[in-house]
Amino acid sequence: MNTATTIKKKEKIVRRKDNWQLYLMLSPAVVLAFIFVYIPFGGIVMAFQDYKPYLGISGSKWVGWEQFKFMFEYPDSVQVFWNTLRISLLKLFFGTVSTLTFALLINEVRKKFLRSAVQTFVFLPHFLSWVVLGGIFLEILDPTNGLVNEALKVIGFDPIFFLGDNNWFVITVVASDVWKEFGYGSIVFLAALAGINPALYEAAQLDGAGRWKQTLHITLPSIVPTIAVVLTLSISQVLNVGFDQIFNLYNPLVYGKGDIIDTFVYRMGLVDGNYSFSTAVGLFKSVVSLFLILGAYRIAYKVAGYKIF
Amino acid sequence: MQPTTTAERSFQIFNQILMVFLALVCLVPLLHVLALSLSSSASVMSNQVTFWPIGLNFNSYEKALENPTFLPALGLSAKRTILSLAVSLLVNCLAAYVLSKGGGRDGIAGYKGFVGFFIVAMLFNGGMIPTYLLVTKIGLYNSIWALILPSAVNVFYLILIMNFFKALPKELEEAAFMDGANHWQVFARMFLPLSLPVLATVGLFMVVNDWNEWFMGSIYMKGDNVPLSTLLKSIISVPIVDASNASEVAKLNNRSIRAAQVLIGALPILLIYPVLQRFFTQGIVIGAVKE
Repeated sequence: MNTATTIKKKEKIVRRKDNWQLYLMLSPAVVLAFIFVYIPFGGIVMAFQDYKPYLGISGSKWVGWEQFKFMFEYPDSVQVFWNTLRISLLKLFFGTVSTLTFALLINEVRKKFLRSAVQTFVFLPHFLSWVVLGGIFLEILDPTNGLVNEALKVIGFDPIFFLGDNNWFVITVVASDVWKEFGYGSIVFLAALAGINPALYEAAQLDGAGRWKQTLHITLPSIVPTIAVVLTLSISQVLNVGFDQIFNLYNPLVYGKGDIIDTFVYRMGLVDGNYSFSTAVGLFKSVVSLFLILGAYRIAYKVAGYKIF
Repeated sequence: MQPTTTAERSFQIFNQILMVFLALVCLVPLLHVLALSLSSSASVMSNQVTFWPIGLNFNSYEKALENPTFLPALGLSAKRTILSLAVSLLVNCLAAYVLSKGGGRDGIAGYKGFVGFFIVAMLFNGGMIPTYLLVTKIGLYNSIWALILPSAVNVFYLILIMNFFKALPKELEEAAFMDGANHWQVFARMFLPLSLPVLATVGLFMVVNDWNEWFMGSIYMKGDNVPLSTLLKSIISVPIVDASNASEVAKLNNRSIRAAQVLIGALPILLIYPVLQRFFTQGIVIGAVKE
């Protein structure tokens, strides 16, 4: 393939006569991506300005790194970085562990009917939006009438204000995210498990290895590349903690530990009108994410030959 | 691999119980809300309802639908989902067709540049504020197109479709070209019909995403002219003042109606879920990467 293309390059490529139509076919996607992704890139200059809507980008005052300086000095913005990181790492850890454990356990279930029935139910929450789930969680976690607190009362505990107490809020966010995604996330691992050569297990059985030893010495090592790819790709998303989720569950009582970069950017920018400051915070997040993504893709490619294009 | 020893047999039993338990954990919140929505308000207020409706009735659903903004929002959501599906599928398929031909004799000059262009568009965006300013500036504010066009190009789906197109046998299109077909004909009469499985997968995911999407509706649309998901968001976020008065003030019993509204919002997803399930193993390659 490689040699063929180099030869072609030397010769000059002769394309089909009507290939200009291909540009026509490509143009809607190019135009839309240009308008809605590339033009907003230009808006990034706002982060270096004191943007005023009535002056526009060309008329607003240039302030250089002021917004960024302010960002690092302003306690609220420093707080949201830590909040983002805390929630994110907790989600990463508990999410990966629960997903992997579930995949290994459901893979051991031999009854086909049970297996697909269980999968049907645990995959479902993934497809429901956080608006719907927010409505459901606000109901069942209600401090006085919610199902969960009713159950706690029955077994003799005091009711917990899950969505109104900072520490409980973080726990609730992590737990509800695990609840929503552990089933669906397991599909990647199940696909990897299905790909393991059955001969390995037969050989191990002949050698007298029990199921636990088989899991330890065959199953886990075989899916290490998949685990590595999933982990690295999740690490690249560490600053995307789930705007939808937080936004649908939080309230001013839990801004202390529950406010994350994305919700902060939204409130600062679209609610309070601090366009420049909020763009600067968003830009900082994007730049950090950029390095994380590039690094993660490089690692994923090295470890498992993972490639997107 | 039949379980033989007692230890393995007891593991199997324990494991099966655990799995059933997990399935219930995923289902119970939905069942509870369903039971609330179908119960009489008296039984809801006195916290008697758990998983089975008490005083079965459909009043809450009637009241939810009587709300003058609810039906228009439902309509806007449906319109948006269908339009978005059509536009997005067409745009991404066309681009996938072109890129599937590569940069050689069958493809286009500048292929690598376009690939880079789309990858950058996949990995980055200008951020919430600049995108918002752009959409309002080009006159899309409060137009249904503001909910469709900004997210029409989805590079993940584009790649998925492109890879499927690449795997189609080359001889077919060569034969068609020999017979005098042009690119549009090959695309519409050959590639699309041959790609139904991948189009169904991508299409279903698009429907789920568009139906569930609420944020664009909340920033790009005005007043009551919002899709259902956005309306639901404003319905459920009743401000909680503090722990003590939250329940009395906020929910002088529309808990049952709220439950009904939430379930109506989830209904289309629940309805297509059985179909969806058949397709997600195909979609997972993308899903795993996406989030």
